[in-house]
Amino acid sequence: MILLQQSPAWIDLDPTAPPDLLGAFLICLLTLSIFSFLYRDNPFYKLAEHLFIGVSTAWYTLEFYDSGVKKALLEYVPEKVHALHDPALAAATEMGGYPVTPGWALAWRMGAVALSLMLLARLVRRDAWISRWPLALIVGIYAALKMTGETQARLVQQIRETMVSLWSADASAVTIAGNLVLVLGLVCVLVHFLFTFKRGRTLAGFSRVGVIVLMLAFGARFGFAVLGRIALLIQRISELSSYGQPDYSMGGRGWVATLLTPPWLVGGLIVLVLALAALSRRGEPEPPAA
Amino acid sequence: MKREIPILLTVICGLLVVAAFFAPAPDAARGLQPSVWQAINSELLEWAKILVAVAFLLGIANVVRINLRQIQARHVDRPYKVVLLLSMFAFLVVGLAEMHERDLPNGIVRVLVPADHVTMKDGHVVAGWVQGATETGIRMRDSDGHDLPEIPHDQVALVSEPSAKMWVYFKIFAPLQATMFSLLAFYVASATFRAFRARSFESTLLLVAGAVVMLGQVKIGNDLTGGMAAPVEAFLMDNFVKAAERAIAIGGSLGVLATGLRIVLGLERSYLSE
Amino acid sequence: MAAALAFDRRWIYLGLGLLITGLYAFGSPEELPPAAPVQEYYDAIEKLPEGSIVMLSADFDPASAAELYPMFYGTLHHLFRRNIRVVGVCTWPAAPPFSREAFRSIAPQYHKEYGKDWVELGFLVGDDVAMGIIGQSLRSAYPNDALSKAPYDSFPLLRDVGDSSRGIAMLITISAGFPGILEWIPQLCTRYDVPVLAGTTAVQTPSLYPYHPRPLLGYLGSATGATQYLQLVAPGTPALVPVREENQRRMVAQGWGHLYIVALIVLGNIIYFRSRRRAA
Repeated sequence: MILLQQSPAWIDLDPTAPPDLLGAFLICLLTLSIFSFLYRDNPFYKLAEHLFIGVSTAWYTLEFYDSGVKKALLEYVPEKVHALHDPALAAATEMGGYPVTPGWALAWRMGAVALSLMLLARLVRRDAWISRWPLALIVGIYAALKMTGETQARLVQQIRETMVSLWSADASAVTIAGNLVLVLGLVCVLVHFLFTFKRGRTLAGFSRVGVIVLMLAFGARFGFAVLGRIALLIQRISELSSYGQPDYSMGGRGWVATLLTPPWLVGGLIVLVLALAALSRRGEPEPPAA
Repeated sequence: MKREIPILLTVICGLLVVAAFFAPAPDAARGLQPSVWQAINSELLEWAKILVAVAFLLGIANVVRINLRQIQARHVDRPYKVVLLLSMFAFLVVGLAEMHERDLPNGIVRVLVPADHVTMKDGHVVAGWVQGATETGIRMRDSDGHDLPEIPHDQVALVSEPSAKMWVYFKIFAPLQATMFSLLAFYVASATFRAFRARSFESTLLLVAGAVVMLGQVKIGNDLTGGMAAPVEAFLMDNFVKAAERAIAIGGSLGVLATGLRIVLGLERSYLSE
Repeated sequence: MAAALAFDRRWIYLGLGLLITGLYAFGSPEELPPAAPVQEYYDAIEKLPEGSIVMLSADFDPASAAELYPMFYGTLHHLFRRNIRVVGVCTWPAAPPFSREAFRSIAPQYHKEYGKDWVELGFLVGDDVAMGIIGQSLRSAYPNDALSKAPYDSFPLLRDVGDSSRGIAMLITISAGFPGILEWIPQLCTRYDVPVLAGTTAVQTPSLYPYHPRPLLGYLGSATGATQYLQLVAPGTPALVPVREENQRRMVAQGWGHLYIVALIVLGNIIYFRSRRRAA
């Protein structure tokens, strides 16, 4: 989304600055390395893949640490200890909006500290019995949260939204037909998933209609999946082409300047290396393609 | 004891969260203040949040263990495993340094964290490390760790806070993840040609629905079908797809309710590996 | 048939790659008529009173940013143009940089002041649990903001939100999957009666249909929805015109990509049925 307004620097760590040249080369190299997997597995792809795993693991670790450990424990505990001696801070201490003393807030949070230490016992022994306590707590809380939320939002509300008038005075034939399809289709799909009754003719008939509705829905899902994947591909091509602008060129004019931009230089290098490797492998049986 | 206490924990915490759901929600307009139920619910959710984060941190230990083992076993991809671990640790160090910039000694901050620059309206640039902003100005620290005088907001033209962490995110992580997923476009095309067969009435319906959606969502598809694809697609989505998705949501919620009740009442123990 | 289908699949990859690249390079922007849910999304923001507080949740990552970042970018422009105050949150760990980039580039264009007109609270770990905490008490969820690390009550905007989510006029979530709109609905929207709008990927769009029009007032589904929405917002917002045109250009390549896939389906089935007839 950042439009180029000045020539890029070789490297610029300022996130508000235009993309730098080193960054452009790196993006093109990594993108085309991943795409090279479509030809065959190769060292460019392997390097990019392992770099991705390393960097993404580190990123997620940093974010989870920041939100779940640093803010919730490393900053929270000293803050509450400080509040023990500061009446103004003590008066503002609350849990879920309910006012509590800093002592109570600290005591409760120590529970989380104790459970975290129990969980870390897994580092010593994978099946450490004490690590089951925090897992049990997580399971219980998530089960309760999901149970109440799903029942209200999906069971109750969805049934309520279905039990509405099928027609009105000013509704068109298409709208009425659509409402009928909606209600009958819903009932038929639910009947299809009833396995506790023996399937007689009636039930089988409803179930067959349910299967038809499901197939149409899955087909639609497939169509949307294609849409999503192609959109991702177009965005990658768009980003590569943005680094093919003259501002990123290493020199020259016209089409020479275009060829000396990061996507073309990097792409040329990868194609050259893979072509040389293919020539050197001539005569050997081909492994299965990607 | 080893089995009973985890089940008891699950039941107690689960029931407390369910009970909080039925407690009156705070509403300042109606004079309803938060109650002790909100306090308990809030703190239990905080515990779950912290434990999820710690569990993820355990995962990184596993990543290191597996890859170190493969390096020691002289796996054929050993050089790449080294790249994986080196890149992970390097990024972690840089990220942690930026996160704890205010707590680390100067020497470490100078090496690992790029300096910030505040460009004043009169043109001159102040270099240092931004510590924060108050209502009146920006607080900075110089390279020796001394606090600089607060810079009033109305004298500031531009603040530049370079970040190696963000650079790595936008130049390495983001393009790699985006490209990995964009490969799926090619695999979908290949799978479509090789595997999608109208072998039965149901599979034909599936293919036709997919084609209708693909054509109806784009202008050229709608134009080629004489303007029919978009309205047919809309009818399909608003009625057939809505019916199926709603049925799946209702059925799924019944399953979640049943399983959740079993867990919260202590009847389900499979999560304890039993 | 086996021979026809056993040919190197890399030719299919090459065909798709060349088609998309060529049409992206040489295609020109085309106008798309807005779908009803997109128009409802736009109208819902237009109807918000000036000065309302909206929680804008970035629930995506680089893998889905192709479809979702234009929605997020356009929505933020729309909100600031309408003088709506915005609280930014994230439930995906890879979302904060996108959220930060959007706020930093867009807020100054409307002379919006941090702390009064917008606040960035950052990522909260925990998925459903995080949403549950936010719904119950935003102050408990975020004792400090993400940018300046100042306390919650030091920001006039957050003082106006207060403790619970009742101070939020609307939730807008741009979501790629789990956790996202399907988790926000039970944890915040139905539980605390907060109206919601959503932008989502193509893969998740069919899942939204049961929730529309209640509680989901409107939504942007896939890159198509993003382009249609940008067409509605861009008039009156010069900064959005190049973004709209870029997305319209991408939709041309998108359309031909779909035709390619449909052609592959048809061709594959023709080969299949002919070989079956020959075998019979």
